[in-house]
Amino acid sequence: MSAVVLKVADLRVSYRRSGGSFLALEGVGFELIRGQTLAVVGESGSGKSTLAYACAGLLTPEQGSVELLGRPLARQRAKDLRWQAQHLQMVFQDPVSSLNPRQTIAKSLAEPLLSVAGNARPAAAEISKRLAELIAQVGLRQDIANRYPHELSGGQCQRVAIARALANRPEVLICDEPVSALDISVQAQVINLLLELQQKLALSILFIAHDLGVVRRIADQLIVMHQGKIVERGPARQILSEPQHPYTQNLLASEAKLDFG
Amino acid sequence: MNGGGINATVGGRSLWQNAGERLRRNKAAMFSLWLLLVFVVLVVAGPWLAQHDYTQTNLSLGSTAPSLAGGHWFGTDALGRDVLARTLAGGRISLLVGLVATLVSLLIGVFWGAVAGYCGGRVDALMMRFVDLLYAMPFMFFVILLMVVFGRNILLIFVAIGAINWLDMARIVRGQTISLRHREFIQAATLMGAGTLTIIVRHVIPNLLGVVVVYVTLTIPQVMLVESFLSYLGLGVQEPFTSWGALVNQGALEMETAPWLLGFPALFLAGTLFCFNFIGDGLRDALDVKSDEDGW
Amino acid sequence: MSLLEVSQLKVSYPTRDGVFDVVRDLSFELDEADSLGIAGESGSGKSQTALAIMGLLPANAQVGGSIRLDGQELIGESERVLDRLRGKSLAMVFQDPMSALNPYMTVGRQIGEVLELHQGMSANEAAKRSCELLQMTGIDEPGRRSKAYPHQFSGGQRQRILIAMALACGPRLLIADEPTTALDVTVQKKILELLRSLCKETGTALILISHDLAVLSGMCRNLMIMYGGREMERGPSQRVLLQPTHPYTAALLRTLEDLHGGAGALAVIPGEPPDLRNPPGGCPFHPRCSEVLPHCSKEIPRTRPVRRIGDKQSHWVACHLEQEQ
Repeated sequence: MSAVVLKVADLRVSYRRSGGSFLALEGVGFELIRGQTLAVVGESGSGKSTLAYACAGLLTPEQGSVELLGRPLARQRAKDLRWQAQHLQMVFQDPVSSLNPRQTIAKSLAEPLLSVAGNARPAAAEISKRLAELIAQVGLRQDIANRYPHELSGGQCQRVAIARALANRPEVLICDEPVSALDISVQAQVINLLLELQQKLALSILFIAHDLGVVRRIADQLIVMHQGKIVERGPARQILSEPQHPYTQNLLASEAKLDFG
Repeated sequence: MNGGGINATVGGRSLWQNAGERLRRNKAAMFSLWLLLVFVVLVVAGPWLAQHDYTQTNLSLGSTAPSLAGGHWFGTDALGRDVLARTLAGGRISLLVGLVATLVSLLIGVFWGAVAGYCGGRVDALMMRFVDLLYAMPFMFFVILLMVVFGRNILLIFVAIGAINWLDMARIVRGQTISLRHREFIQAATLMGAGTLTIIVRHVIPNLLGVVVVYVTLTIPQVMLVESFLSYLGLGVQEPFTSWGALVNQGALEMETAPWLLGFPALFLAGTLFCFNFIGDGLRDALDVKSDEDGW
Repeated sequence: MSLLEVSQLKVSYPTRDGVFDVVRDLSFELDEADSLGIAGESGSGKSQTALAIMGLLPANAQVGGSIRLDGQELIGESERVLDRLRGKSLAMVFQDPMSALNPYMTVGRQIGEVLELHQGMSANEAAKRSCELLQMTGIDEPGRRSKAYPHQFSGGQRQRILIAMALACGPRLLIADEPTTALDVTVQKKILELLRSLCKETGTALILISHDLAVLSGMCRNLMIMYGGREMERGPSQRVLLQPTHPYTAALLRTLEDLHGGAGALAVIPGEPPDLRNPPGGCPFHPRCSEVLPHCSKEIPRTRPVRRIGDKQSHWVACHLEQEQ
């Protein structure tokens, strides 16, 4: 199998607004390599979240294509949806609203296992075994299973959301600003968890972020976006040390750094 | 996976359990709930409780004032019928109209609104235009038309009221669904390969129930009022059946000579309406998650 | 006498599970034209502290202790007096600039209204002064722009307008609660620089509140680190950043430095922020502390000065470790 797991070409998305349409993405293309992390950095209005949603098939681009493991995304038939569900999952920005407030954590986690299985419903014992594995995998205590989202902290909810995304062992994980709603001490925990899981499960990650700080540790490749277009791309280390585009330079210079006075 | 109140630390407490607890601390709502229960028991057990049949006339006892000794606690009407028995019998019809019509509007409204809101686009436009169309029909005209064509029939009242009330429910549910549709857990469910119906049933509707429950408790009294109004106009239930609205209508005619004919049914009607409104308000406060965390 | 003296501040909320505290035993002082940065995670009580000083806590909050501005006690003061103070001596800039502005009023009018109310200016004077204020906060063409509505400005510009409004009456103390959290990084830096230079120019004392220690460093002369409703460490910024004494401060700094460089796994503070409904006994940080002592879970450490040889700086810490040494 080819090393490219997610291939995006010439993507164009626009939103209708009062007084004309607003171009959210134009001519965006990239390739995500197996086992690597591609980070997309941009400020509000750069189109980075639109890009994440388009890659997940949650919105249909006007133009361009998204290929997952060599197959174009198609979300018409239930069979295609199930196939995609097994290979690509997403973690969202707001950890609390990522989980259905009326369901226990166990129910939320069991859902992907059941929906992919279709009619061949797995045995209850099998499901509860996998649930225990998933909860342990993201470093949570088992007694969390019977709790409700509103009883957990933001960091714990985000761990549950990660566990749910990984339930069917997908190859590709899209993370849409997964730590920006969390406290700094918890941000580091979640990033470490993602790094650890990536190594263990050979995940390929598309990581969306609004600042460079978080990306530094996790990204192999980096794309900088500004107003719906890619302004700079390349190996993360290189861009962070020698940014070429003025916008990237500005972004790097604006970053809040510890100032020891 | 039940989260009992005792082993809360292990079992987890659902939002419903939290809301139930908040409701239990609301004195007005709890009092209303108990009072309503008493009303319901009285009304249901009416035929066994009252010493007289509500249709039994006794012209020699026409318009007697309430008295404990005479056996007619609430007095009698012009035809000598026992007002207590009639009030309880009327309550059965009034509450039944309220419940059935609300149930009809609940079932149609929630389904209609959730599908329209979740599917969006052309489906939404089509479904909601239909709702607009029905809205535009003058309700009273609609009811009178039905009466004229089919004759006066209690079933028609259920149908007429239910057919109008689901429109509001559908609009409310649709609005809520649209705001839910973009929530992350719905997106996540889509990505997990869940079908539209699964998402509506498992993720959308459970999260709508709070709003729906509140709306239902406020719809029941509204429906009962509409029925009263229809009966007051003479378009409602027909003899020998009666309802609180019909009783109030008849009582109002003899207000000066026999005030008990108006007073007792009106008391029951008003009491029930108050109860439902207090319960509705209590539920709204109880289901509002934020109410517990005022200030931060 | 200091401009602001807060002592033994306590903020609590009654709920069905009993009364719980969001700020406890908080004491600090702020001099005229001085600056203090308050850093803390969610639930640390930093925003509650700001609201308590402003007298803007919700009605069900219970406040104890003392807050003195120029010697005048603010706790228990009437709403009328507080209203007058809020315009003249105290001002605040909030996190979300959009919701702090009235969308149906031009920004010039909104600033002008403050001036007419508190300075007794005429409408003409107020309009002229509000243009000056807009100019001062870096809004181009203030004459034309003052006739625009809030939605016609970008997020960064809106925050500039709020700063102009806050400084309109020449307050003695400005509190900025996460003023740049809702803004893009490239805008954040400019807004922070604007705040610093304006406060310096006008001699306004500044309390800057942020969850991000990096934002505060270099902005404020003094730093206070809060956790679980309590003060952990307080002192001159340089001292706190270079010689952190509290294990929490040290761990936070390690995490931050790690985010900006280095390789492999990030240094983390294990565990979760404390649950305010069910706070740990003793020091609120002890369940996550790497240097925890047996009595940390039982006794609340007193805030005491950090003493080093030949040291006259006022550096305070609330940790049992410091007492051991």
